Amino acid sequence: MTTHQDFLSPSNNHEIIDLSSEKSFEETNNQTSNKSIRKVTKIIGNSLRSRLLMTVLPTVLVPLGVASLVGFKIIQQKAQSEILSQLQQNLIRSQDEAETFIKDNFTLTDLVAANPLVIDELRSINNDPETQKLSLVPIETLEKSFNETKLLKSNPAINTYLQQLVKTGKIAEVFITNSDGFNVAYSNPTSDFVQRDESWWQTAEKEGISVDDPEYDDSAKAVVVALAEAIKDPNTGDVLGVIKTGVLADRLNERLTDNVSSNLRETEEIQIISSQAGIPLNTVNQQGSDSEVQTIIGGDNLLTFIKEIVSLNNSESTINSEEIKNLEQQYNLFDLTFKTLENSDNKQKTLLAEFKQDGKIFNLSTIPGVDWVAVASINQSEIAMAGQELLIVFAITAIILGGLSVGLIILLARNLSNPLTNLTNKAQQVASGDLNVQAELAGTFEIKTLANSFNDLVLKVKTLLNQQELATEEQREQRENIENAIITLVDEIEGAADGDLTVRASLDSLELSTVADLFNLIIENLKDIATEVKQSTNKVSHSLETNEHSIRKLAEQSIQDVEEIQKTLTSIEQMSQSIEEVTNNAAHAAQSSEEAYQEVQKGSNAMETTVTSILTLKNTVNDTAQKMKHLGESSQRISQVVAIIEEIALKTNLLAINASVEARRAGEQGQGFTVVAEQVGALAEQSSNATKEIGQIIAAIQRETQEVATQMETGTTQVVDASRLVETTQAYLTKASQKSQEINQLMQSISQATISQSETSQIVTNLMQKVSQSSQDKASSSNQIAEAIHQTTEVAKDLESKVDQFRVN
Amino acid sequence: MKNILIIDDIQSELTLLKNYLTKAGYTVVTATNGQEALEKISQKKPDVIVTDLMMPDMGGLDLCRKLKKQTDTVDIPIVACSAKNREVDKMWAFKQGVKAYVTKPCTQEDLVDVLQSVTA
Repeated sequence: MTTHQDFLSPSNNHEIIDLSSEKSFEETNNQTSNKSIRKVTKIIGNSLRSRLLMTVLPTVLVPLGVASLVGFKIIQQKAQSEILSQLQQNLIRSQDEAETFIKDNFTLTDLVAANPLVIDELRSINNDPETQKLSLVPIETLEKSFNETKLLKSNPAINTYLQQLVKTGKIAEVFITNSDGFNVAYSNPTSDFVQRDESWWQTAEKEGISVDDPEYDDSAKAVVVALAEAIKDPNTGDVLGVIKTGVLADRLNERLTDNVSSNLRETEEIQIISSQAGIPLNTVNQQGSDSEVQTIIGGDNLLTFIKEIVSLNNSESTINSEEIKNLEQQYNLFDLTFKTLENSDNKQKTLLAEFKQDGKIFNLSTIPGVDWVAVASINQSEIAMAGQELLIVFAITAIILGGLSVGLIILLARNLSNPLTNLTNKAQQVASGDLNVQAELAGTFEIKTLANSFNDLVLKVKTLLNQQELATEEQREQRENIENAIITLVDEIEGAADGDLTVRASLDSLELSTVADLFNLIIENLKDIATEVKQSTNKVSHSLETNEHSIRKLAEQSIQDVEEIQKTLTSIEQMSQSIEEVTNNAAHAAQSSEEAYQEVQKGSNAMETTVTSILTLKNTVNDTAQKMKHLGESSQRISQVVAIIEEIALKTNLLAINASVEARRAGEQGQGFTVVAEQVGALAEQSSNATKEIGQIIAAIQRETQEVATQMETGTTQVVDASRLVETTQAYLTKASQKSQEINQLMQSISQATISQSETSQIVTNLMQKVSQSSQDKASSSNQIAEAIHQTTEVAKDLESKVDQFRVN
Repeated sequence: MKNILIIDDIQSELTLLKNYLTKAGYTVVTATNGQEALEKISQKKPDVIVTDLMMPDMGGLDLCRKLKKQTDTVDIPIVACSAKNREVDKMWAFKQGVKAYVTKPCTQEDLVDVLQSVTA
């Protein structure tokens, strides 16, 4: 599937056109555009024309076909309905002809009936008594008697007149009877003489006219239609006689042939049929009319149907749809329809019927005044075939039109595609590099526009290419300018690479002046740096030269210092070691004296505690003695109280006895009181018992306290003795403690002194170590410095030699 | 009114620029090279310097750098007026301390607009 993009872009894979590559831009362009042109040609060649044909042709041919088909169908329908209406028209015409034929013939009989010669003759005959006698004679007798002439009385004039009528050829025979039905005159002899027994005669006499059933006449070799009319007296209107004509159906043939036959189609046939006689009078088709045909189209079935129709028409009843259905079933008909026409002049009705049977379409019409019907029929196949010949016409027309359209479209397509093809060729030429191409402005407006656009495009491409060439030229020039400028720049500043910093890039080139300025700035800065380096290296070199000796000396000195310090440090270390020993000894002594002092202190403390406990004991004993005294006093008081209680108990007892005595005296009322008194007595006894016990306890207490008091006395004296001993011991201990404290303090001061001494010596040692360390560091750093200075000197020399390359003035 | 020092080695250019600025009402001093410009600046410090860039010996940017190194001239706004019109040229000029850039050929309006924006 190619998209429009394929035409728009020179190629699908966008090649990056490298200007520096050997393949030129034009070449690449040619290749890509050739590709696309090929595609375009392919599309136009294969597709535009065929696509036009494939799209336009159906759009033209299909409607054409459809239109032809529809047209044909319409025409066919029209043709078919035309045929049907023609069939109807032909039927009506035939029916008309039949009617006219009968009327015409009655006109003839009218003429004869109105003929004064005939009227006079009949009057005379009817009024003749002889004739009146004959009317009473039986018919057979009369037939015999008049067998020869078959005429009542020969009137040559009338006979001749009748014969002349026959000679006109319109009628086969004509005869006249009187009012009794006897032959009066004839054109040629008849078979009977008396006619009054014939039904046609009776009808004519009664109704004025009669049309007899047609019969096939062998002599005439034709169907003969008999018409009879009553001859009436013009003055009275009485029936004078009857005239009968035998009309050949052939006469009708001529008219039908002339007026109907030519209009008929191949299978179209019209029959005038007498329903009573059941025979066809005339059969008309394309070839003409014929009265010799004996068979009815549609056969007996149709004849029966016709009879029914005629009777229906005479009965004047309307036909409903149900009856139509019955008729259809009965006679095996289809699509049966009826129509009634009424003549406005004589009110005579005509019944029209239409139906289908046995592949034929029938149209049927009654003929007024007679029991005849006209039946027109045509084969349905012919109707179906109607318009078939048109089909060919239409087909041919369609084919011709189609052919024309195809030709026209091909022509158009060619007209469309040819200019395009030309345009394509032109495009190919352009693609192959020839830009001096002009496309012709041919073809349709659009193609002209396209060609015009193409020409514009070519022109644009041309100008673009020119512009491009100019641009590339300009670019080349610019490149050259830049290259030249670069060469100049390189020339100007290449000295800087060799150390010439006096060079300067000129600022003449528009393209490179900025770069030149940048170089100038760099060189300028480089120059400054080089100058500074030169100066500082000079300084460094100089100062190095002047300082190197002193630095070396300094280094050596510092090394000597280190050695001396090292010695000092060793002696200090020895000293500090001896100090440390002293310190340790002093510390040991201090510790021993401390311990001794501690022990004395402990003894003194113990003594002090003992004294304190003895004192406490003394106090306690004193307190106890005091308390014992108090206890003695208290028990004495208790003895006194117990004596009082005893007294109270005695008195209470006495009271109780008194109370019981009093109670007895009181008798019965004092009985309760007696109990109380007894209880009080008991209580008093208990109290005295208790006091006795208390007395005993107190006596025990007093004895014990006495014992304790004596023991305490002895204890106290012992304590006093002990406390004296202790006090003397304490005095000794205090002295010892004072002494040991003094020793201790002495030792402590010694020890402290040695400690501070050793600390000091430690500090000195540390200090000296630090000094030695720092002097060692100094020595090594001065060594390093010396080394560095040496290296610096080397670097400075190197730098100097390098900087010497730069020319800065 | 402002004092403008215009420096250009091409006399016709110098005249044109001088005319522009004189018409606009500026007081104009001219110099045809950097050295001369430095002398003119030492005589009287201008309010703005308009200088060409591509000049022999001392280019506009050399001059600019020199002035930016001296404390008494560091604040003089410098307008570059050059035919060099690429971004890199402008960028470099701005990096060297140029305050505004006018591309030659320029109209009076261009130059005056830039001067006003610089002195504003």
